[in-house]
Parts: sequence; C-alpha cells; structure tokens
Amino acid sequence: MKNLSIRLKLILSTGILALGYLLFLGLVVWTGADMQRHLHLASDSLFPAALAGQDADAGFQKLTQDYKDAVLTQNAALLGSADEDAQRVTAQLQIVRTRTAENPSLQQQVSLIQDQFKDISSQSKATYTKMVSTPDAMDEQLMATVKNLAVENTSLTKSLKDMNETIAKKDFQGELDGVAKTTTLQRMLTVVLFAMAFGFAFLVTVVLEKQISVPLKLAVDVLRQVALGDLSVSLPVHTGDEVGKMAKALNEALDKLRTTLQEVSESASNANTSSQQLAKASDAISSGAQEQAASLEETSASLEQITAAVRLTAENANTASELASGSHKDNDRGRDGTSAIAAMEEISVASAKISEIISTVDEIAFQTNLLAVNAAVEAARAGEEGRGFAVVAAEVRILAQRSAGASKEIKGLIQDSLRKVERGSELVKRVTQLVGEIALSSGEQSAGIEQVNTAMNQVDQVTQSNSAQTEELSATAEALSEQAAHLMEVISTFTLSHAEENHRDRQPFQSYAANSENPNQQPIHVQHGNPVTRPQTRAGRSTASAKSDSNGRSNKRVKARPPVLAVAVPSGPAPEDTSFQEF
Amino acid sequence: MKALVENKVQESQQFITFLLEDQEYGLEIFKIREIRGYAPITPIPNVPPHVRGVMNLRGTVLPVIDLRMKFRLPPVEYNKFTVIVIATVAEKTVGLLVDAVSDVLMVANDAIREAPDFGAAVDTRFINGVFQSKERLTVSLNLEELLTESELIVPQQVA
Repeated sequence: MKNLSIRLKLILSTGILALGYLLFLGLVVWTGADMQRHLHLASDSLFPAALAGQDADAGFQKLTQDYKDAVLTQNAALLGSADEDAQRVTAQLQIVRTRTAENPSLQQQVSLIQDQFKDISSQSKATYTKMVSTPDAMDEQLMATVKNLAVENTSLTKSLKDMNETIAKKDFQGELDGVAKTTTLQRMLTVVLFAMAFGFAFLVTVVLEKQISVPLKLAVDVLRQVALGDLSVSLPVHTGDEVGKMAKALNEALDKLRTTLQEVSESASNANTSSQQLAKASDAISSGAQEQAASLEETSASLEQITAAVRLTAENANTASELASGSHKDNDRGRDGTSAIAAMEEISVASAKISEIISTVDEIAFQTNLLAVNAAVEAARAGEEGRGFAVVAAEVRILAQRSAGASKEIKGLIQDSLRKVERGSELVKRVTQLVGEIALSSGEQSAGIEQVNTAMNQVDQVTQSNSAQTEELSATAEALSEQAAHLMEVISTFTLSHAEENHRDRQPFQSYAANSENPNQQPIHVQHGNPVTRPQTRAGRSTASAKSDSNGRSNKRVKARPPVLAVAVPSGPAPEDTSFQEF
Repeated sequence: MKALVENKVQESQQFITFLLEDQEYGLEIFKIREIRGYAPITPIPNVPPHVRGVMNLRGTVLPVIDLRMKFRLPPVEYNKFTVIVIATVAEKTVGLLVDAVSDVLMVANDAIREAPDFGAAVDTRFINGVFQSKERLTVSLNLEELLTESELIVPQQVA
C-alpha cells in the first residue's frame, strides 16, 4: 500500500467509489425492475383477472337467471341467451386463467372452476333445454338433477367468489406488499451503500491526506527553510510513491546544492586566500619594481661613470699605444724621431758598436799581453841586462791583462744591457700590443656599455610598465578579494550542516524523523564532522594563517587549504605610491 | 843588488804558464823563443793527428803540434786568442798550440816538487815537477821527453 503510486491509489479509490456507485445503480435498477414487475403483475394480470373473474361471476349469475327465466317462462329464446352467457363465462374464465399464469395455485383454482363450470354448463343446458321443450316431463329424476344443479351452482358461485376474493385481496395485496418490501430493501441498501461510500471516501481522504498532503506540507516547509538559506534540512519521507520519489529527488537536489555550495564556499575561500596572496605578491612586486627602479637609476648613474671611465681609459690607452709605437708626433720624443722602441734600438746599435770597440780593445790587450810575454822572454834571454826590461814587460803585461779584464767586464755589461734592452724592447712591444688591445677593448667596452645603456633604458621602460601593471594587478587582486568575500558572505547565508542548528534551535523535521515508521532508515543528513563550514574553527584558523602570513613569506601558499570562511579583509592599501610616477 | 839578483837567478827560474782545458802547464822560459797569435797552419800529410802542420816563422818552417790533442783532450775550434808558443826542443824549433798564455812566473827552485809516483802504469817522464802558482798546481813539462824525434822533424820536401 505504501509503495503504490499515487496515481494507482487515486485510480483505485475512484474505481472503488465508481464500483460502489455502480452497485448502487444496479440496486436501484433491480429494485425498480422488481417494483415494476410487481406493479405490472398487479395492473396487467391481476387487475384484468379480477375484472374477468367478476364478469365471469356476473355472467354465471345471468346464466343461472336466464335458465331460471327460460324454465319459468318456457321461453326457448332465453336458452340462447343462456348459451351466450355460458360462452361469456368460459371466455372470462379463460382470461383469468391466462392472466394468472404466474400463480400456480390460482391457476389450479381457476382450472377447477373451469372444469366445474363446463360440467355445470353442459348439465344445465341439457336439463333446462329439456325442461323448456317438454315442460310436462317434470319428473323426479329431473327434479333431482335441478336440485343437484342448484347445489353445484351455489358451489360454483362460491368458488368464483372465492377466486375473485383471492385475486382481489390475496394476490393483489401480495404484489403491493412485494413492492413495499422492495422499496424498503432499496432504501435500506441505499443507506448502507451510501454509508459505505462515505466511509470509504473518508478513509481515502485520510490516507491520501497522510500520504500526499503531509509530505507535501513537509516539502513545502523544507523548501521554505531552503528559501531561508538553511540547506542542512532534508525530507524524511521514504515512501515509494511519487511523493517519496519527489522527496528523494529533493534530498538529492539539496545534497547536490549543498555539496556545490560547499565547494563554492571552499573555492571562494581559496579564491579569497589566493587573491590576498595575489594582492600581497603584487604589493611585493610593486615594491620590488620600485626598488628595481631605484637600483636602475643607481645602475644608470654607475654606468655613466663607467662610460666616462672607459672613455678615459680608451683615450689613455690610445695615447699610450701611440706613444709606444712612436706614431704620436706631438710628443717630445716624437719630435726627436725616437720612441721607446727606437731608443732601445739605438741603445742596441750603440751597444753593438761598444761591443766591437771593446773587442778591439780586447784584441789589443791580447796582443799587448803577447808582446809583454815576448818581452819577458827576451828579457829572460837577455839575462842580467834584460832584468829592467823584464820588469817593464811585466808591468805592461799586467796593464794588458787589466785592460783585457776591463774589456771583458765591459763586454759582459754590454751584453747584459743588450739583453735587458732586448727584453725592454720586447716588453715595450708587448706593452704596446697590450695597450693597443686595451684601447680596442676599451672601444668595445664603450660600445658594450652603450648597449647596456640602451638595455637599461629598455629595462627602465619595462620596469615602469611593470609598475603600472602591478598597480593594476594589485587593484584587480583587491577587487577579486572583495568579490570572493562577497561570495563567501552570500554563501554564509546558507546553512550547510546541522552544526549550526543547535544554535538556531531549528529542528522542525527531527521529530518527524524520529516518529517515522522505519527507524532504521535515517533521513539523509549532512555529515556533522565536515570541518569546512565549522564556525568554531574559522577564527582560529584564519588568525593562524594570518599570523603565518605576517611572519614572512616562509609559506607563500597556505598548503592545507584552510577553510577560511572569514570575510576577506582587503590586503592593505593599494600601492598608490606616487614615487612610481617619478620614473 | 846584483849579487842578490844573481842569487835569485840561481835559486829560482822563470816559467811561462799556459792553459789547456783549464789546467795550467808551465815551460821554462829559456826554452821559449817567442809567443805568437794564431796564424793559419799548413797541414801536412802522413803525420800523427796532433801534428797539425807547419808554419812559417820569419823564413823558418817549423812543425806545429796541438798539445790538446797530444794530451788526448777534446779538440776545440782555433780562434784569434789561440796562442802558438814557439819553443826550442832539443835544438829544434817547434810551435805548440795552446788555449791561452796565462802568466810569466818566477818560481823558486825549492818550490818545485817532484812529480808524484803513479807507478809503472803512468809515464811521468815528461813531467819535470809540480809547483804552486796562485791557487792551483801547475805542471812543469819536459818537452824533450814529451815530443819525439819524429814530431820535431819537418819533412824536407815540405820545407
């Protein structure tokens, strides 16, 4: 019964009512037909039968009178009239018989009367005809017959009277009684049927009221709660009919709505957090851009200095290069036509000359030494006379040796100085080369610094545009944050779980759920343990996250997706720093 | 004064010292005729390798001997400082190629020591003695023992 659909229930109840009505109709039809039958019987059968009976009685009386008159008057014509009367009685009796076909006892009675009349009629006709034709033939036998006929006549008359009485009183009355009985039955059945129909209708109404109206009312209440923003409610209806299905669908819809709203809430919270972070990040970027701009300015200034320094270096290097290579005509030495290298070469040449001279001196010293030795030999040969000469020779030899030593020393010195000059020359060449390279590098450096300058300008422009865009970003983030906060405000008007019901004392369906006939079937409720919308945790979590945020950027992204439903505080003032404009 | 000099002459003699591979050798000054700078030497065939050839000294042709080679020292390139010592050996004049003339020394006789005995394996006949000159020892050579007859004779056909 419970799980029958309402349609079926309605069809069933209406059908039952229609069946009752049909029964009632049948009853009426039946009772009407019965009454009609009775009345018909009374009017079509009994009434003509009664008339015919009375006519037959009257006919018989006339017949008897006619026979009597015929005998008395000796009028044979009256015999004919008596025959007519007899025929009339027979006909009337036949009518009675046909009309009372439904009453066998009456039929039998009529049949007896017919037999009796036939008997009497034929006997009477014969007797009275004889008496009329032969009025003198009155004998005892005839008299006995007449007497017998009279008795039989009386009997028949009585029988006819009985029959008429029976028809008139008994049967007619019986039929009328039957009509009355049928009417009474009809009335009684009508009352019973009506009572039954009324009871059934009442029952159906009650049942339907319980199965449709009450759940619908519940649904209306639930929907009203939903309209008030309380999404924690659910419909505790668990029937299998359309209302139950509707309740299930509504619960599912509510569940879905709840889940969606929770997700939206989470998303809004996340969006809020993210937008706050975004705002912070954009602030950081903004301040970074300012720092960058300041650094850029400093760098620019430094670059200018570097440029000047490099230019100076390049000039100096060029000058040095020219000086070293001797191509610089304005220089003092340049006027003499010499340079470091030229001087070195001259020194070299001079050294070579000195070397030559020294070698000559050396040779001379060698020769002198030889001469001195020879002189010493000659002096030794000369013996005593050459002794003085020997001394002189020794002196000369010593001088020669000294000059040889000196020349050797000079030679060494010259060679040393030559080596040094060569080295100096090489160094100068090297220096010249290096200075040339320095000059070249300085030029390249200059060009590079120009490029760096250009790049710096571009970076400056980019930084400025970054700064502007960061401001926009900041504003956007703020707007986003506000939107998220608004969204969360909007969502916070919805109650997503029963956790808040205790505070609001709103439990309109709990009692119904408790009274529901199947206590095992719990109504669908939102999980109480869901921390997402728990209001107690909001403040602590949000302050905690705020603290961690204020502690620095150690956790740039709040990892655990804190269910912060707290209204987003716009993160600081927008970077309206006008120092950007100075750039 | 004269007596002193005489005495000195008796007690000492003069040496000309020359260098061969940084070793100083000495020759009695009386054996020396003169010292000459290097002059081109005319090589002669069929002689020992240390006999470099002959030279013309004021009309006299004399053999020139490379003492380095004689002493089996590694040969060197002759240059303008190479010296030829003209000495008289067994009344024959000979030129001796040496690295350089170093000094003229007066050496006391008692300062000259006998050549050390190296045993029979080493011929010390051409060493007159050894004396100290400045920081090092100078070997006094006996040219008569050092140079054989064949080395002193100049082939006539060349002369």
